[in-house]
Amino acid sequence: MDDEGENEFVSEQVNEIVKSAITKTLGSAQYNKDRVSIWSGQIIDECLKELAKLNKPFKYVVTSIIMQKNGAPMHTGLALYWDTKTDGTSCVQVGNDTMDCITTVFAAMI
Amino acid sequence: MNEYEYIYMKKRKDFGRYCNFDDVECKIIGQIDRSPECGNMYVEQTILNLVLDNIADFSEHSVNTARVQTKSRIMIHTEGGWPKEVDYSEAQDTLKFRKRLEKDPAFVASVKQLTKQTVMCLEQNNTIDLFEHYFQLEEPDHLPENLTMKTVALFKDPSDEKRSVTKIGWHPEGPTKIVGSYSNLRFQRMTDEMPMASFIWDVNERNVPLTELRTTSPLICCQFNSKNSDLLIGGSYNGILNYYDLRKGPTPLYKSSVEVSHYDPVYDVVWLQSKTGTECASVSSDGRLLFWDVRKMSEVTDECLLTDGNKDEPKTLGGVSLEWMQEAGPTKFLVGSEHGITLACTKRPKKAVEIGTWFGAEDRGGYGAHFGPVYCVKRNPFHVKYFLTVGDWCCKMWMEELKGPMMQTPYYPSFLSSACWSPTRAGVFFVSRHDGRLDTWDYFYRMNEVSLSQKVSDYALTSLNVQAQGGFIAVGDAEGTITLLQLCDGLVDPAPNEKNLIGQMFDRETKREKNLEQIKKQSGAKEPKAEVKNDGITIDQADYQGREKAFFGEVGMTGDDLGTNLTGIKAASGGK
Repeated sequence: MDDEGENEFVSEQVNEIVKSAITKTLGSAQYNKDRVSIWSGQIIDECLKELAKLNKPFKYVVTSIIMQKNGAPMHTGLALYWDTKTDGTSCVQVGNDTMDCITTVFAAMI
Repeated sequence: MNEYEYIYMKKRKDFGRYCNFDDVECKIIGQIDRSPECGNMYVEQTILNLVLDNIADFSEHSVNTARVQTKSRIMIHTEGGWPKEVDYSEAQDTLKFRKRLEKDPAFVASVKQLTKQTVMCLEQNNTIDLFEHYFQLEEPDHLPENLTMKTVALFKDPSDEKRSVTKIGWHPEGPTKIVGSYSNLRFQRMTDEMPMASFIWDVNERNVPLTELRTTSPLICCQFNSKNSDLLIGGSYNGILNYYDLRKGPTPLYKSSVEVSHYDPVYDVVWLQSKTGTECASVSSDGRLLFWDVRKMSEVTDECLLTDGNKDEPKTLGGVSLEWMQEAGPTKFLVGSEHGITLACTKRPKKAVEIGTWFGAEDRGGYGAHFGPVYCVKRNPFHVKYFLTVGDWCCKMWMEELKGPMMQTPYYPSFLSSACWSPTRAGVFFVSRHDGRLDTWDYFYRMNEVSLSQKVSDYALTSLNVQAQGGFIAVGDAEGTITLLQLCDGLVDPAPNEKNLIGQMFDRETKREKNLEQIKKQSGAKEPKAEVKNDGITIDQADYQGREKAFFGEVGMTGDDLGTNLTGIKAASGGK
């Protein structure tokens, strides 16, 4: 707890990582239901890889939702029970013409 | 103790971080809103395919059951069980032993006990439920209320000019063929173009007749021979009899010679039963009853002039109907005359045919004659002494020994043309009417009213014949149509004991009629002068009622009106 500033969860930093992972994966792709699971796998892998490079004492949980834009509304929420001082979460929502992607990162300090 | 002590030392911080967990408020992390404009991307599906059924699903399954092994075994029964000292082959010994045993009180007790068990076993009915009621929904037989008959077939005269069906004859072997005689009986109404032929119909072929019977003058009556169904005898309008053999074609095989034939239309013809089966009798309105042998049609075998029996100036009575029945006596003939009187003729071998009774002739002490020709005379097939006649508007029931009718139907609104007894039910007869209806009387059920009245044709019914098995009736009308009707079972199957009960009823009526005759005689003796002009039918009302009551007491019946219409007959005869 002495070197707090260094090992803090910085959500802007994480957001950046997630955003780049999504854009890198989806780009301007058309929605295709057969590729959804591949995409979400790629996004999650990319995020975890980048987060690991930060070299911070955290364990990460990444979830990703890909949904076609067909007029239907969608809400996703979360409730947490953890160490509010150290742990952090960050959520990125990116959309293109045909689909929306919501990716959430949970980080718990070791 | 202290030697075994080992102390671990570690700083708190080296244990790792302790948990300090807290709840975090829920929060929405992602939100995609509804976009109504996306609805335009959708197209409504107009064709929907949906398959539904409500057929129960079944599965097939088969099981091989265990096979039952059967085996034949033999068992020998020998006498045994006797004590050693008794030789069972010696009757003396066994008897002795038995007697000794029967004296033993234990024997009686055990027999008593054993019989109880045995009787139960014997009385137990393991196989058949004798009292089970099968066919619960089946209607009881002979409900006289729902009698029916239905039209099975129509046979239309193929000729253009309308002729009436004057007689119908059934094939003697089963309901297969009908012979219909077609002619026009109205005086001088026959045109030159009128077809002459009569037809034989097959019951199963309605459109075309099986054979025609060619003749030079239309047949009025025609009958199958009961022994050989290929032979037919037909009486024609000009008085000649035609003898047909279907094996030889549709033209007559023989014709009777003109000199000896009738000189009026032959109204009725019957086959007689003889060894050769070739004898027949015919009757005509010329007042003669002629007997023939079809092997020699050039002469008559016998002849009877139908007169009223007056010795000084005999009046000839034209015959229009003829009845002969083997069971009633092969020598007896009943002839219905144009004058409403029915004649009973007897034909004894080597003797002239003589007329025995004039039923209904008033100058012979009878009463109740028909007001018009007697178109039909039929003996009851079960009680042959009794017969019915049809004339004017009613149907009368007679008995051979009585000069007046026993019973009669009420007067109909139309003329009657023919009648026929049911060959299977003693109390049933059918009457054809000129207004196209066929009436069924069931005397077993009721005598005061018709049991079934069925409209058969729009035209007058002219002839009627019931098939010998009783299930079918053929009815002919004035327009040349023969209607084949099938009767319901209630009209065919005899009710239990029907024959006897109808016989009893006829006997009762005969008794009553005789009783009345007696009163008539007595009252005639009392006031002979008053009886001079009247034919002896006036009866003292009080005396009559007294006698009636006594009669009913005698036959064991009670009630005021017993259904028979005696007063009606009296009035009818008295009114003349």
